[in-house]
Amino acid sequence: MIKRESNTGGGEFLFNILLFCMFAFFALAVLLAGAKAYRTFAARIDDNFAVRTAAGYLTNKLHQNDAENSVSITEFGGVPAIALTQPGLEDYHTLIYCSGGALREIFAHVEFEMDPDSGMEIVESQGLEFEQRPGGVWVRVLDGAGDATEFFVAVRSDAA
Amino acid sequence: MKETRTQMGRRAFLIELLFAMVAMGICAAICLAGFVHSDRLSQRSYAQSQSVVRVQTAVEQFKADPMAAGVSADAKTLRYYDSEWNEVDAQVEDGYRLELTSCTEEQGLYSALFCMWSEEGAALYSVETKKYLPARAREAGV
Repeated sequence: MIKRESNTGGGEFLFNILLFCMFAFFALAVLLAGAKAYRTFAARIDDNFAVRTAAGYLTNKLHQNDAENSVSITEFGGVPAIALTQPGLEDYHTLIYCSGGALREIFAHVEFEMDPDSGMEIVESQGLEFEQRPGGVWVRVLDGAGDATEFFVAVRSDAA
Repeated sequence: MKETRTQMGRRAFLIELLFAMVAMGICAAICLAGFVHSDRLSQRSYAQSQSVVRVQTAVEQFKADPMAAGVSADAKTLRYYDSEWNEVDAQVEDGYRLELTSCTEEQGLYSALFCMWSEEGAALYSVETKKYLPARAREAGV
């Protein structure tokens, strides 16, 4: 009698342990699924932010400075850059370019030699390319993860 | 046959554990359903964000040369994209389609409606734009 009770107890103990292991496993699985979902959402939000910020910023800047001979594609510190000048202020220009993993802007005298990394950081970006096309500028932006997004900005003055 | 205190304790623990498992199962099901819903929302938000950039490009190209779009009341597909938003030649599964829904001209005022569609036929983003071209520019083809 005593022997039988002891055997049943051992089986129950193992069953309890198994059940507890299952509980722990599923709890962990749900937790990991949540963490994975959060990582995916955060990455998408970052992507959206980088692409929309870069596109909106460049489009607005180009439209804002859309005057004759005010928009040009140039090079700054070995990387492609957009140079924007304002009528009456031709000695100064605003350069928009990518350096040190960020889209940057700098306003300086045209003859000053500046360090590209001294520009104001706008948004995280791995690269920026410009191409003059009829009626505007074609822009290619690489976001922080290295994914490329291309867009076109119409320049009415057509001076790019 | 009377149960001993130890046996009763074991049974109570087992029932407690089973209840915990059932409760855990219900919570997990609710959480997973929530994750799936959030994932769909996040995907849609990402798709809308990408749509805005692509439609904006189409609008800018239209503004650069409205006559190139061609005046037509019929919808015209301009570009196809795959699920990763790379431009492709034809409609693909889980892809997107940029459409010039209509383009009209009245006394030099060009109006166009651009729309981005998902493969399921849901409109992700649409925008109407106008551009005025004086007669001289129209004749010159600018």
